[in-house]
Amino acid sequence: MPHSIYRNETPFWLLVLAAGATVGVCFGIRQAFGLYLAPISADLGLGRNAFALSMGLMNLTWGLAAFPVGAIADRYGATRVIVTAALCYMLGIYLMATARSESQLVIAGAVLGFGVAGGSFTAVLGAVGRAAAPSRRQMGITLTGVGGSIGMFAAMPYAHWLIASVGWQESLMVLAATAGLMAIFALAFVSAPTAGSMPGAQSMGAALREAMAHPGFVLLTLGFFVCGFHVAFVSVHLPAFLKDKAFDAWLGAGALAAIGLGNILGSLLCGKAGELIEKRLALSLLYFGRAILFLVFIYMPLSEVTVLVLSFALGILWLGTVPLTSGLIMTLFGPTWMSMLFGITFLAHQIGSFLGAWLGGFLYDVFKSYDAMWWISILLGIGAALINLPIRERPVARLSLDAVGSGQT
Amino acid sequence: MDMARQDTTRQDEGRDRERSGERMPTGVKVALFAVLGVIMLGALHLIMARGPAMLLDLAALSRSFLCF
Repeated sequence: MPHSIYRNETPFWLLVLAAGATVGVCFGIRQAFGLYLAPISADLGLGRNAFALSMGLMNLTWGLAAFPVGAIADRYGATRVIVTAALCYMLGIYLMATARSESQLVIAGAVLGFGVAGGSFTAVLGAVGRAAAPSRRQMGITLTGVGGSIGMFAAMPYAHWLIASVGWQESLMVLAATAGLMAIFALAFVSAPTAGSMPGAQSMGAALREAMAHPGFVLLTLGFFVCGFHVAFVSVHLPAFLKDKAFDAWLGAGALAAIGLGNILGSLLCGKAGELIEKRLALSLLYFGRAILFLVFIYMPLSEVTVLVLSFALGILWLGTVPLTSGLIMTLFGPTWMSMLFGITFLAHQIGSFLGAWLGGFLYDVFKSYDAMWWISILLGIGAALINLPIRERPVARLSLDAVGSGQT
Repeated sequence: MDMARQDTTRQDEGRDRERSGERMPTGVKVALFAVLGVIMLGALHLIMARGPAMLLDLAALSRSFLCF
């Protein structure tokens, strides 16, 4: 029995391993950039805004590029996209290491954005989904997500050690070389099926029209917007919230590290949940769980231990949305244009991220408290939990007809 | 007896999947877990060893940490 309905010469396990490693390297390096804020700002004599602007532009480029990059990956294959992304990543890091002015830092940020867009989930999830037998898709997506979570957690301490050992410029060169590994991992996708290689595949325009007219896709995208809102608000403002509660400064970062650790476990558990129960239900429970945890953050008497435990619990619900959301997209529309469609939902996520980070600061300035923001996050969490419930988790009629036409059931 | 037969069937299925390239060979799996274990232990060691220095750096730049 073939392991996939498509011809694919690379063993599926190797494809998943390469996908997880690509996303892990891509996300890991991206997470480590934050460590360069202080040394770059100090050495170049620039205000911290210059570096923050560069990173902001990277995130914006990443969000805007996700859709076209996903479409290219679906149509022409993930290899070209990931190799190009690796080159952009290396160039962007080199530009950052050699920057002497604010404008050079900003250009580096934009180039890096294309690198992150091509090396992150968007490109590889579609490739994994198309190569997998339907029964193995969710598992493949889940393990790819776990790779990303491990990279996010592990890269930061190594980068910190590198900066202390060899200096920030040399350490960036090491990161650039590490980013080059993505181009090697991309070779695993050379023979992976693409939308262009699948006979009778739906056109890109038809796929877009179908998704946009599907209520489930719209609801899913709105839910993912909330995910971005939550993640950015907590990442940016949790340390300040804890500082307001008179905790030492390290606890904020410790809480974020606990989230990172919980995230590895959570990616695995949430992805597995998507195999055991309907993904819309798992997503609904996840968003509801976040709302409960936020409520606990507001009302529970906090100590260092409870903050770390709550943060770890929040980490379990952190990026579990990725395997569930992408898996649900694949269930609804099939894997042919998966990367492109996920790119659209991801743009909503990034818009939510921007709003979560910005609104948190704005409302704090107005009320001198994060209470309003916590309550907005709780309401959005409940809202996201509710809007995922009515999604009809069954393939569109086109896929059923295709299956009948090709003799599959 | 039936349970023993089911176990044998499951093992055969596992071997079939491994042969078809769907499942990772055991040797690769062990090596992968070993590498990941070393990476994670190294990361945890660095977090503990570098302690407050890194955590304070992270606190200063939480604007981009984990914000995806």
